[in-house]
Amino acid sequence: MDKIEVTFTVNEKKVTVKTAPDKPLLDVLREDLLLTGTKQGCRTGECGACTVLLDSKTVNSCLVFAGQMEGREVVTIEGIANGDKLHPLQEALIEEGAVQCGFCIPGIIISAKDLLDKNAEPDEKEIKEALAGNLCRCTGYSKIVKAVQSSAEKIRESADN
Amino acid sequence: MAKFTYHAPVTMSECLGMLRDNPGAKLLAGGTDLMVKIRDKLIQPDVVIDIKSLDELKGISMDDEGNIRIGALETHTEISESKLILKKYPFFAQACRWVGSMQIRNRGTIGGNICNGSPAGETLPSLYILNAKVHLRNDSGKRVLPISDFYCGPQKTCAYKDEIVTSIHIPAIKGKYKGAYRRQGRRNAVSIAMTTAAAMWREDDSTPTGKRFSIALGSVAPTVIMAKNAEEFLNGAASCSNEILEKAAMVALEDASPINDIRTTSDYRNELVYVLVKRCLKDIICNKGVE
Amino acid sequence: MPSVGVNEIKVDAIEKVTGKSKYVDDLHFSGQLHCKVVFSRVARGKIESIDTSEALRIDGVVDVITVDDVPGNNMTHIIYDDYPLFADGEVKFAGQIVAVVLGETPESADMGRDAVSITYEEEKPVLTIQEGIAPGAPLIYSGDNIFKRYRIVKGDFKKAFEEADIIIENEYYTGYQEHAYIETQGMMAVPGHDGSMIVYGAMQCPFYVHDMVSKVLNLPASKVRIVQTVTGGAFGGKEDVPSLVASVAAVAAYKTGRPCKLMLHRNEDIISTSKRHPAWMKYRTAADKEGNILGIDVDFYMDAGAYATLSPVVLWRGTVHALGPYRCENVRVRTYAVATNKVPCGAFRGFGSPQIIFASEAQMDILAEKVGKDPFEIRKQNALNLGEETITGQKLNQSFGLHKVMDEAFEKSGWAEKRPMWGFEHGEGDIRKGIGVSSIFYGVGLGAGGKNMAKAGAFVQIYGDGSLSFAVGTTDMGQGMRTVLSQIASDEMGIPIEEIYCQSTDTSRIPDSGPTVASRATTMSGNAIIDACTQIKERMAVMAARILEAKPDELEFEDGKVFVRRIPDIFILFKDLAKRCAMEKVHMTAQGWFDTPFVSYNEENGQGWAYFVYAYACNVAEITIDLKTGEITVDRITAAHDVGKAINPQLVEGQIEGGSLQGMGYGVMEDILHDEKGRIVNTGLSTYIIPSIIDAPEMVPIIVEEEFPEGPYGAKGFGEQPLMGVAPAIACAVAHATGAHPDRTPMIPERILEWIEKKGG
Repeated sequence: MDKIEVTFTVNEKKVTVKTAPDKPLLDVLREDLLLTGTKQGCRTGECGACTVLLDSKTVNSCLVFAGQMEGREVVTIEGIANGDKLHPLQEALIEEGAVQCGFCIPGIIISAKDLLDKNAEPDEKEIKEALAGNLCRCTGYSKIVKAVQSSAEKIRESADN
Repeated sequence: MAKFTYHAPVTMSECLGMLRDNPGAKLLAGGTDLMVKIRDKLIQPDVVIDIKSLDELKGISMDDEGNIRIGALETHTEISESKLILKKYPFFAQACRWVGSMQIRNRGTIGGNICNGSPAGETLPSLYILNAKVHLRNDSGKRVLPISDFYCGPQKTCAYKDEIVTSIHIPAIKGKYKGAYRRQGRRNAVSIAMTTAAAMWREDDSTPTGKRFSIALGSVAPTVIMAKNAEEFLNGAASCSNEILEKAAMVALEDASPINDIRTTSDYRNELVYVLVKRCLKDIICNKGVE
Repeated sequence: MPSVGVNEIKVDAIEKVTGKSKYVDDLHFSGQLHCKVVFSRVARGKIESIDTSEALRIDGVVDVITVDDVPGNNMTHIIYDDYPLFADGEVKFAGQIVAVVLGETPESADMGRDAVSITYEEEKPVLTIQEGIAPGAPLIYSGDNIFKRYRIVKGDFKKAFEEADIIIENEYYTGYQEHAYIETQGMMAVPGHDGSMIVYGAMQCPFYVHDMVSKVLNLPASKVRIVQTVTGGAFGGKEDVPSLVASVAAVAAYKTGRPCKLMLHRNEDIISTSKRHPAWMKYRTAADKEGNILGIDVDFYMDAGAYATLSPVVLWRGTVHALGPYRCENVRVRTYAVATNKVPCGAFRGFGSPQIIFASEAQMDILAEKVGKDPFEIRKQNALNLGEETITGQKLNQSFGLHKVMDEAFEKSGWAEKRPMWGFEHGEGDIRKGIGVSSIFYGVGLGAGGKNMAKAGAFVQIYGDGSLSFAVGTTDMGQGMRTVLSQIASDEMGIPIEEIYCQSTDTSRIPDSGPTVASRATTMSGNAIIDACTQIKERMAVMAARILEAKPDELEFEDGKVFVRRIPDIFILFKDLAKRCAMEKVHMTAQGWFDTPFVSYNEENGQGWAYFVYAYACNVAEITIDLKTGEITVDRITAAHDVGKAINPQLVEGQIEGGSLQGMGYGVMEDILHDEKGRIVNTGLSTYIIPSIIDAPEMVPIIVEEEFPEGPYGAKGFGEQPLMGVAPAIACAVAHATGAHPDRTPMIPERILEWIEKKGG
């Protein structure tokens, strides 16, 4: 079938791609826009490695059709840091030693950022619920939970000042 | 490389026309099931109609009589966070939280979940005990089906090929009531349930206990089912003692006909039916009802 | 400021949290083709025909490759030469590579794959260990379907059983475990204009890949170069399999002259790549009435799958670890790797030991019950002491932290308070709490089973600006090797870690350093880096001595300075010294090398110095169990590990926590299921269930440091150990909470109900 032209926003930049409408957003990001920070771990919505924010909600980008993207707004891992200044979540994951192979980490950061954007003071249960769709095989998760907690604290402190 | 034609209608009439003209078309809402099925080549539609932008399929609202309407495109996240649902039917909100992961709940819709029709569908047992109604529409008109009449077989709905589910309606309950939902999966998150159960009582003078019970079971038959024998037993019982509730859970086993599959065995499903029904009943008996 | 012992942040963390790290799928070469493998859907049979004509008609399909296209050896070498890269006339498991379709896009390759038509003459597959060793079983391997057998004979086990007060005899089964690294396997092969071949990809063992690719292509090894890309988890799963994936991509690149990318999707990865061996164990223990072990008699069978791959060495490790860290003079252990028509099993964190440890620790729990003792006490009582011998006759004479890890875990878990308060007898309703223990040891490195490979190199180079780069032959797959080795290099040269860069592992830079397995990277490459740094320092010291008017052997390299010992205020900055050395062309590069300490093993009786050192661990698991549904929740894992020296304590904790959760998954939820035709049915992460964050228990990692004098800064390897003892500790807790002893993994609710019922009846 014919390709269609879709215009949407990625990390605050407007982009237009010509693509098959059934191409997953994941492939559009990685292949057409060369944003390879979003990872593919299963292609079936089961691992969370491809998580991005779509209109301020986390989704598995492997399950979104390109055809559904017109006018939408996407944030990927490449849009999380502010230039060279890391987001507090990124800093906390590094400081807590929560990064091992790193393959799940972009998805984890997106899910955690979404949580913190909506809930400045999440408890452990809320953190776990927000991250339940992001599988990690290396860390045992406990340093990831700590990192989300400590970054939440940091964000709250900087907001107070 | 798409092997199907993709349409994204912006009005309902446009959509209904497309459905009329393309009997093999598949509707695309959240895409969380459809995308996987197409990729696994379980289905190979010629036409996919993306209904995400049809505003008429959105919204959660309650009319003056207390009837609730949930648009078919409402996501599991939206339902589970809806103040209205949380207040009226918290067990249903909870059931929606058991669907997949946050990412899936943000995308997957109630319409998609009921049309997928998996006997393990998390939202279905609650909708069964709430006597929910499915509103359907095609080019020539509208119709309504009780949720329990919506399925013609495993993962097969009775919707016509040109019909679209527009909304789910939960009729108002007069007087007090209390519901509960329980399920068990292989892990504590993002897992398809091995068995599910929902139970509810509503005030009713015509039974000895003053309560009329409904119980629904999932993943123990080709579709979600009502545990009719167990309901009947409870509605005729003299009290709601622990003993009676346990007996009712035993009776529920007569209603279930589970199979062995990739997720677990029929024996274990029977164990779960007993335990989950018993616990649901205790949940609703040991706690006060809401009005 | 020393770097060793400090929680330095991971040297590659920033690129990982910003999404900049390039994993193999993130590479793109102009003109690249995409490979899609056609796997066998049949577990055993002859290939009658392969029809590629339909596929070749599809727009975008460039070629279809089969065994006929392999320029060199199709029969690959892992330990034996028995595994055909492409199926050659027959298939022995469902998931075997039959052909590869090359497409201009992933989609065209995918359509081409569906269009390749293969017909088989199907035969009935052998699907279990018992079927494999049954008399008259169809032959998969050699005369008896046994790839390899080992035995340990020590003392007089028959007499021990005759004299025993107590004999415990049980059978145990352990299930499969899939690695489920979040990054699936993948390779990118790039042909050179001069007949050379570069392969980039996710891997643990670049030299294995190098060897296989050059033989499959029939290229001189000198024309092949293997580069490890950032690797998204491995756990043993990227030990042998990447050689196959790389070779397939390389054959495609060789034939087409274009870069070829082969990425396995999750379902393809699950059906075709290695797993932890399922095992069947018959375990007999003889003890006196005090609970002292007098003898063991063990038969251990591993389900190896259709080809030998790494099974012989996996079996060897299991053999040596057949009893854990306990005293026993009379031993018979017989072990077998059995061929079946299923995917070849291989390396997985613990490497043949978690299976047998599950059985041997369960025997300890039963022994404790029989003599009326606490499970912790029975283990302490039987635990080896410094100077005593393992079942292979090896004296444990150094770096021996066994009792310390047990004592620490006992304390920190609150065992003494919890054990008497919890258990089946204590509690109301359907819920019980249980607490259980396991104690284990782990032979570090390849040991005598792989001693010819047990060497490692390092290349270190100092630049004129005082910065240092190094390359090693071992790999980082997430565990943090690049960071730990950078810390070692930092302390060796006395310069800050920011001045140090660890190159990606590349077979053109470094001599064959063996595989990155067996928890050996820190010890082996760390020592090789020390060797290289020492050589460079000696040369730089000559220059420094001239400048400082001192003798070279009086000089210290520390804090970015070089100074005379005892007179630290007379110094030259390392940067200035490096600049001077560069100007005068002092040779500031060196190859370091480390040869493994002495090991030995006698295959006749299984006696010998199996490993140069052991690491030790004690795990305590606390669980909640629902007696009616059998559901287990693991609430807390206390894990004490003797690691010699924690070069980076935070990374050590990361290994403990991550390994513990994998061990929990192995213990309570993970298993691979087959249909009656031998095809894997749970091919995705919604049916092959690994722990999510909600399932993760509270972790209490405890680091014990009994320094290993021959290790870098006293460190010894331990990366696998965190997984090994968790399932047994959970089993011990299940026995506590239910009164029934598990004899099988995974301990899923269905089985727990069965065990409870059996106990009741």
